[in-house]
Order: sequence, then C-alpha cells, then structure tokens
Amino acid sequence: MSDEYLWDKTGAPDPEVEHLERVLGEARFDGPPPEMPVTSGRPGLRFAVAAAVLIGIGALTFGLAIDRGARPETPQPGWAYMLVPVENGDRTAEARTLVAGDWIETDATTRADLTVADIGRVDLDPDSRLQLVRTGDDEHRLRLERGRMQALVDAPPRLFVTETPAGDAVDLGCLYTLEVDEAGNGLLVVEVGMVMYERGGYEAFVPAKARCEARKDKGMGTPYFETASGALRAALRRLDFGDAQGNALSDVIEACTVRDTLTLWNLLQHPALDQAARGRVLDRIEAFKELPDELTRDAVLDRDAETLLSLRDALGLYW
Amino acid sequence: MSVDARSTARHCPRVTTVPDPAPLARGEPDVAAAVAAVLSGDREAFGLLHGLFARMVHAILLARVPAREADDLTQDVFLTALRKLDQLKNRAAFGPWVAQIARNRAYDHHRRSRRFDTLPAELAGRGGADALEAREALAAIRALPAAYRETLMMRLVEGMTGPEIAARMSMTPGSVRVNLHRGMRLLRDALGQKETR
Repeated sequence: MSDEYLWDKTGAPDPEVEHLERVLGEARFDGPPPEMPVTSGRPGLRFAVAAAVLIGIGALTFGLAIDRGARPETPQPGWAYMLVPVENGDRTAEARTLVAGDWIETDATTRADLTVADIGRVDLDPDSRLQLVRTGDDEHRLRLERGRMQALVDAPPRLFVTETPAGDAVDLGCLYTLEVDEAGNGLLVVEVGMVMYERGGYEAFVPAKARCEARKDKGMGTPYFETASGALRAALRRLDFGDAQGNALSDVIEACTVRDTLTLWNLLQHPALDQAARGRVLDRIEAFKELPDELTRDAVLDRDAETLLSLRDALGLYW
Repeated sequence: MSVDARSTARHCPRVTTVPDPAPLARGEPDVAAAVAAVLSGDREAFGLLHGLFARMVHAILLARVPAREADDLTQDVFLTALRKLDQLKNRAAFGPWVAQIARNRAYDHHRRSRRFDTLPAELAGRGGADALEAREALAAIRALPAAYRETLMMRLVEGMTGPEIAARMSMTPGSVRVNLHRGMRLLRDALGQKETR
C-alpha cells in the first residue's frame, strides 16, 4: 500500500484508492463556467454600487446613533444582523449591529439572521430572545433565553458557546439547532458535526443526527440518536429527569442497540451513576464491541479522559 | 482536563480560516491577477478561475448536499462569488474565500430542505454494484469530520492531487497530507465495518 499514490498519484497504486476513484469518479464535476453577466465589472455599475454602499453605511451609522443613543467613542466589535419578516422573507431590511450586552427579541412576525463574526451564522426564529454576551478572538458567547436558533459554525472547537438556562452548548464545529421553552428547558439537535452540552462539569457529547434534552432544574439529559426507540427515550427521561428512577437504567440498557452505544458511552460520564452502575453500562457496550486491546476496564470505569476518548473513537464507527 | 478539551484537535480540524496564501509555486497560475482581470470584466479570466476552483467547490458541496444538486449549486457559488468579488480584500485568497461561500451555500440549501439525505439518492436510479458502492462510499465520506470529508471528496471524486488541493485551499501540503492519510484510514475502517456487519 502506498501513501504516495494517495498523495500525488505517484508510486505504486493503492488498489483500494484506485477502486474508489473509479467508482466515485462518476460524480466528478465537469461543467462549463456559468455565463458571466454582461454588467459585471463595468466601471459605471461598480461606481454606483460603491456609492450605494457608502450611502448605506452612512445611513446605517446615522440610524444606529438614533437607535442606541450615546455610544462609546471606541468602536466595539459587533455582529451584523437583520430582522426579516416571516411572511415574505424580505431581506432588504436595514442591517444592524449587535454588540456585547445587546439583546435581540423577535416576535411572531419576525426572525433574525446574524453573522457570527467571521466564523458562521445564526438564524433566530420568531418569538425568541437572544443576547450577545461577548465576542472576541478567544470566544464568541450568546445567551438564548427563549425560543429557537440554528447555528452554523465552522471554527476551532469551543470558540462559539451558547448559554441556555439549562446548560451551555459548546460548538465543536458545524450545524445545530437549540431550543429553549418558556420554562427554560432546552433541546439540542445536531445536524452536522458535534456539540458538547455542558453544565456543572458534566459534558454530554452530541454528534450529528443526535439530540439532547435538558431541564432547567436538572441539567442535561443523556444524548440519543434520532433513530432511538420510543422505549429508550422514555427510559432515558425517567433516568435523567424522573423523581423515581426505579429500573430506568435497566430499561435504558435493555433498549439500546449497537447504534445507541452513543447513549451508553455518555452514560459512562453520567454524574448520577456510581461505579457499579457504570460497570453495567460497560457490560452492555462490550456486548456490542470488545474493548480495544490498549484500554482497560478499570480505566474506563475510573473515567480516565484519554481512555474514554479512545473508546469513543472505537465506538464512533457505529455512529 | 475534560474529555472534550483533549479531543478538540482530534475532531474538528479547522478548515475555514482564510490564511495568507503561500507564495506562488512554479507554474501556479496567478490567482490575484485573474481576480483583478475578472473585476475589469474579463470573461476568460472568469473561465480560468472556474477551471481552477470548480472541482474544489463541487467537492465541498458534495460533502454536504446530494450530488444531483451539487452541480447546480457549484454554478450558483461562482455567480455569488462574481457578485461579491469586489468585497474580496486579499485577491490571492480567492480559494479559501470561495470555499467559504460554498459552505454557506450548502448550509442555505440544507436549511431550506430541513433534512439531509443520509444515504444520497443521487445514484438511486442507477443500478449495478458500482452505483450501490458509490452511494455507500459517499455516505461514509460524509460521515467523516469536515476536513477529512472535503479533502477526500477532492481527491477521490474530483481526482485532484494532494499538492493541487493544498494550492487551491491555501493550506500547507503537510496539513492536506495528514487529512488525506487520516481520512482514508477512517474511510477504510468505515467501509470495512459495513462489509463485516
């Protein structure tokens, strides 16, 4: 097997790479360039566009001065956003700037589109309330008090954080939806990539196609895939949020399939599970997948961070 | 240290920064000059940029949307880039800039459709073992972290070499090599896992 072939198509061909090239080559792009609009690049048009931009900036600055009253002399880093009517999606609305401490509140007739510095976007649904807590090179932090937002972030892990009353969603890259109901309870649904949902030192790992519920008074629940059975979901709610848990852990373990090893892996870190209970969880994991040779059962049950990560990598093939 | 804190580098390698491009390698087209020419209305220069970057853009889209839609979206991305070209401050950074437009376009597409085909339907109408295998391979690549996903799409679908990917994305050859190597290892594991199930 030659890495050189994978790198630059020199060296001895790797049969598997060659085979994939042939099979996947069917989807290769070979389209011509699109027609270039005839107006593009014309000096007159460009001047007009530049003038419009300058006028727009002037109007925006004036508008903000009125809107916000006295502002600090030193410009603060801010995010551009726009309130968009739900009914017609008209995106010609005035562009605004959100700075640290500002809130956005949408009613039933509007949503908001935000640009998250240079790392992504947030779409805020109607009837939502959101605050920019801070924005900077080391962290961008929002607080979703109520409603629903969808975030697309393509940035180093942990650079983008959204607080909710029930826990903080810490972005590890990609696309997710976060909801907070009137009672402050949360729901995190990850579409692409992965997110950590955290509170009080407990971190729930939520990868693509998984979700995690949270309660304001109890914190995060245990993540599960969208494909999880109703029985598993019900048992998890009893385990995570129920007053009388009864046989909830047994029911969870019983309901898990190989794909639900995501749930089992997260349970290994569950704050309410003692070592014996974690042992039962690990038994179930091992029924699906033997522990890799380099990992020991004791290290898993002791919640050794490196060991848990290695186990997650091994189980990730099923997710 | 938390489990996640140790895992950050492992799971979401950053691919979207717009770094200063490396000095022109021998034989590399002058992208900044092509951008300047397009801004003055030069159609040939637009064709040159399209020829250089269309496969990269297509691969980025293909990593996120069904193949039957990736072709049209590729053209949309170039038209968007053309409209916004005068906003590009560092003309030599056209590659990472248009790559980010492609990612945003895929997101828009995804947001509208509200669902993502886990198993792409693009080849559903075609029969044969190859079509099935292609579907499985595309799905397996799409399940990888973004940096591996995009790099492998460029290499295996678009037929770009590692040095070419590095040049178009303004990434270091070392980073691309690592992404290819690790991505391919994960892909082999994933495909092997499917076979043994």
